[in-house]
Amino acid sequence: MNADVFPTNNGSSHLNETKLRSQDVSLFYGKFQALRSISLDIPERAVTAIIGPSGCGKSSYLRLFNRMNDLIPDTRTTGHVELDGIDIYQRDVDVVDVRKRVGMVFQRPNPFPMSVFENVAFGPRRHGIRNREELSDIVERSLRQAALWDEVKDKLAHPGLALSGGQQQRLCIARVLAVEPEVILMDEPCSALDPVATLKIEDLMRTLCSEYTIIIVTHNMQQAARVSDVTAFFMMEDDRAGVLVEAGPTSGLFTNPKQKTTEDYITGRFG
Amino acid sequence: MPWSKLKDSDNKTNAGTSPKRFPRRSRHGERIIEGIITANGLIAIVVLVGVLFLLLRTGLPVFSHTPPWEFFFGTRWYPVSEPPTFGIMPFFVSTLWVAGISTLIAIPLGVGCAAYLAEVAPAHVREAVKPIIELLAGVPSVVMGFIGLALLSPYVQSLFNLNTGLSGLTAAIMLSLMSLPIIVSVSEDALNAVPHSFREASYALGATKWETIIHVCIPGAISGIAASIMLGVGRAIGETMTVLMVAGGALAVPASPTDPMMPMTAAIASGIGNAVRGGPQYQALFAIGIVLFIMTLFVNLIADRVLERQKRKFART
Ligand SMILES: Nc1ncnc2c1ncn2[C@@H]1O[C@H](COP(=O)(O)OP(=O)(O)OP(=O)(O)O)[C@@H](O)[C@H]1O
Ligand SMILES: [Mg+2]
Repeated sequence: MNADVFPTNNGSSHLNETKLRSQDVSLFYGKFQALRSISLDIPERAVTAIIGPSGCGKSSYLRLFNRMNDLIPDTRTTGHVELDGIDIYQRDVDVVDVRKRVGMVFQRPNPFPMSVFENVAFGPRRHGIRNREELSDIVERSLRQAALWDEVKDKLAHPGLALSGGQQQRLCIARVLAVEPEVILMDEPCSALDPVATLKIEDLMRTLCSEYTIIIVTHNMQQAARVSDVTAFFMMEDDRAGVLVEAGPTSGLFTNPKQKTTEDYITGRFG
Repeated sequence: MPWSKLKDSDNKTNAGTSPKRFPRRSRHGERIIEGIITANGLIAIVVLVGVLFLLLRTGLPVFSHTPPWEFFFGTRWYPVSEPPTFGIMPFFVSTLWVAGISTLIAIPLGVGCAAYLAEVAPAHVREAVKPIIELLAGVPSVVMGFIGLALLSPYVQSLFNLNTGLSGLTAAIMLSLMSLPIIVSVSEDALNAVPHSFREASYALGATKWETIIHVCIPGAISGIAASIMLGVGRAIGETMTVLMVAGGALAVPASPTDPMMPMTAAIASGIGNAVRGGPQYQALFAIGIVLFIMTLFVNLIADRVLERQKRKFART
């Protein structure tokens, strides 16, 4: 599939380049194959949603892009995963650099047991910024970007874990933004949140995608339809390995799916 | 009792709906077990109070012949001169030196080892190292004393050019080894209790393994680590046989860690044999026991507090 042909639904009419590309990627946990031969292009500065039934390998796929699967012993990846045309699984690629450029927001908000300020400053500090003023600037800018500044500007010294769940998740987004990544991976970022907090995060994603490439895994079909420009539908085969069934502009995929399985899934007739 | 009534009615209502999920256990056996557990707790408290009472009753009369000022701050311990003097400063300072230095050695060693085991070591290394550390905890202190005498003290002597290798430093090194197991195992537990999601978040932000350990894992486990250190300190303060054998046993107030010294425990152990039961020296030795008791109690209380905080810290996640 070719990402270049998708106009984004965020108002801009330019055609986006491919930011991330997986080419014939398979992933194994020990002997178990979790992903089979996935080829997909992720357009730059757009939201790509990944949907599919539980256990089909959405999280596993997402974690390929910042090499988080490396942390699990006994995993093996074949094929090519490219960021701006460069294979990030090559030997000479620095994984720290990859993770700086490809940030990740997790399913459950996981702020560190530190103050709000230190949570956001964590990344910049690790990457060598020591100057207190510079850090303050970064923290403020990131919190503003994450639409959290007004709610926490008087509580920067409070523990991040004392915020509400929705605020915690936006704090985690701010923490990622502070590192100035190019890509943000989100693994069901709203599944632990209430509808109001969910809407806030969705709004945020729409704003952020003018600058960032976003991939979101979601179980919520409406959410995928609301926030994403492109949707990819994953399924598992008989041996439970995940495969890509269909991908395309979100409006097209939801209104006019090419595959029968996709139609069954999005209309809820699946399983 | 209302309690037994409640149980009865519970059994009845459950019996009809889901008899399998609530099998009827022998309430008799449970009562007996409850009783035994309660009795154990009571015995512990009774013994503790008894020990404290005995210490106070035997030790406090020391102040009838030695004023507190002289006892606590006196630098001369001459129990057999006429009149005898009982100043515990040499022992107190020795204990501070020995416990302090052993803690300084044990902290980086113990926390480093725990961090290695919890965060870095592959499973098979961890499985191999843990029993060894537990074995170290089981070495009798008299054997540690032998090791200090035979193996360590010659090194200390030649390294620092001393008249004798039996010194506070030698004792401190042996004690640090002895407090290592408790520090490693409690710290490792604390590190393992740090939620995995913190590590993931750290790695995902581009932190290296080392940065993650230093800035996320250790701070996240800091209260448990602090508690483990307290427990180690408690051990170092209370340990007797090893310090008796290798600390040197000098009666002067030590000025440097390489001086021979006599920590409080060693003073009690070496003096009690010659003391007339109920006599002034006997009383003074018991009074040292009171001071020791209070010190270790204090350290343990702090450790408890800190551990409690650690448990509450991650309750939300
Ligand atoms: N660390 C692991 N070790 C072994 N197998 C794993 C591991 N993580 C995931 N798997 C397996 O890989 C498959 C895909 O898991 P993954 O978490 O990627 O699915 P998912 O689509 O994200 O599911 P969900 O929607 O429930 O989050 C599952 O069969 C799962 O059991
Ligand atoms: Mg998942």
